[in-house]
Amino acid sequence: MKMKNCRGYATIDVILFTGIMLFLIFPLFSFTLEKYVYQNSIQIIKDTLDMTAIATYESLDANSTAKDNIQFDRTELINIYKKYLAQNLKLNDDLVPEDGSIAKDTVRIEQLELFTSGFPDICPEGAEINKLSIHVLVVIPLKPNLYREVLLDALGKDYVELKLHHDTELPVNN
Amino acid sequence: MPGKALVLVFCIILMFILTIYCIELFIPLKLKIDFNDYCRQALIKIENNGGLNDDIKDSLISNLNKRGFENIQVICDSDVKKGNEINLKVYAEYERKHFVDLFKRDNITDSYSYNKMTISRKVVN
Repeated sequence: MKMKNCRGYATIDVILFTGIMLFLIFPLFSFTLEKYVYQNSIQIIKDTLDMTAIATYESLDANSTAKDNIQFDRTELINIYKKYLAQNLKLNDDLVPEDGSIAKDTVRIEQLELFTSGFPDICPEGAEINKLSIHVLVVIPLKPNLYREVLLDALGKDYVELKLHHDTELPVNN
Repeated sequence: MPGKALVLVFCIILMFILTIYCIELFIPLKLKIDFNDYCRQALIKIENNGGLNDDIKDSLISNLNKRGFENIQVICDSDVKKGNEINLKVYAEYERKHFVDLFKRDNITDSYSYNKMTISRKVVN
């Protein structure tokens, strides 16, 4: 009888342990890891947007950069931004992801504006701009891992759309 | 009772190993953040300088070495004319211990790479 009780306690311990692992520790780590990976992806994209924004410097009219009202070529600005965004995020010319890209579907540039004068100004997303800056709003489809992927599958979606607003100051006079 | 204690000890050890395993999953992510950060700082300096010079290269390699990266390769043009493309490519490896089996730890080598492009800044004013 005593032996049976011991075996019973051991079974309860194993069930309890499995329950803690399955319903507490794994979900907790999965959630934290997923969040960490997501934050990491956002940081990588923000860095990429910064590097891409710096490249748009080429669209500024060099003669006007010493003046108050800096002139730029808007078509060139868009072309340069698209070109370097594509190269830095491993996308093709139509902003469709290639192998190894962080994006999982076509990246969209929803807003792209260069603020050259009239400071302080407010960007379309409400942030204050005090210096020569480029404002962008890009939509990047990201594929989640772990539990979010399961949730998305259940909802019939393939990815989440990350809408990222980023203002980058372009350095002048240095 | 000894049987119960044995099961309990086994469960605790297993939980400990699995917890360590889970925590170790964060290490490569943190390393990737640091790696990208150092490379990004270097690219900003390169962009401002108009190419990769020895100071920037040594500083980048030194920072990555301090963080534990090995076999570091830095590829970038040293003299980029203002207005031309700058492409910084950095490759490195990081060796760390990791659970490869339930009770076995072994060295694994992770590879890290950075490949970003921008334009060297025009001379203004």
